[in-house]
Amino acid sequence: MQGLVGHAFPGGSFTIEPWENVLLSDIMGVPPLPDSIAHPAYLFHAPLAGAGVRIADIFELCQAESEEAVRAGEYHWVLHRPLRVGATYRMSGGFTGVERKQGRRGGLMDVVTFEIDMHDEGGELAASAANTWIFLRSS
Amino acid sequence: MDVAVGSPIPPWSHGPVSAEKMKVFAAIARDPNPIHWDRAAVAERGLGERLINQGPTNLGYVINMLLAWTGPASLRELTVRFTSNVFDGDIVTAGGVVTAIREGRGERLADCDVWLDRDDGTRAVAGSATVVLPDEPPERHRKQSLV
Repeated sequence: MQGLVGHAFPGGSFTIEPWENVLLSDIMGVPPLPDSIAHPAYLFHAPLAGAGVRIADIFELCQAESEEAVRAGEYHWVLHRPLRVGATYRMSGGFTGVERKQGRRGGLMDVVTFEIDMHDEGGELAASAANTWIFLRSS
Repeated sequence: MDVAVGSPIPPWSHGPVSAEKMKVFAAIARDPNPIHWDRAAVAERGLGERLINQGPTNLGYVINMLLAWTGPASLRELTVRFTSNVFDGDIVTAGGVVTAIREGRGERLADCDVWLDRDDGTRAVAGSATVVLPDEPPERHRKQSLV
């Protein structure tokens, strides 16, 4: 698992489509934000999609034993400027940390962190998302 | 905007949490975990009989509270842990309190502790956030009505 650190995602881009922002805002329980501001909850799936990696890919790369053996740990999101509906962002990132730990009940787990940066069309860093997922191990 | 250390953030409530919206988010996020859309899968895993809301949606409720308080472009940083599940049918309330006020990059910033609680008092999300404080309170964006 330590070999994951430094593994870069393919990279690519993601466009925040107006229709999807309407759906995502509705999921979050609010109308779309004014002034073409996209809901910040985009910082979960947009970086992954734009970086060319799916949740299932993360599970596979981290050798998840099953879907229920994965837990969300800590999410750290930074917004340098609001995300905009209609904008296209270039994504880059990969795995930045793997730590083997023993849980309170004695079970083993790998705590895996991946970080993805979102650059706007002018090349400026718009946002970063660092997410830590916990992979429970049976042995 | 008149804010001091210790000021509470106006709470933001939502519910009942919708199973249908979990399914839409699973499709948008390409989340293959059936605990968000298959009650039988939830039961098979011993997690109860109700679908389990996605963590990013729970985080979205916390974000809604912050944006309703300081405006739609105000969020700068968010760090959270997911401490318990939220299930379909739950009523949830996001809350927070100001822990520091400071200047950064020419902006007046508020650091806050933030959380999301289920209606039974269980804490589902806990963490911290930084927002830009506007000169005047924003026009509060509408929230969808509680049933």
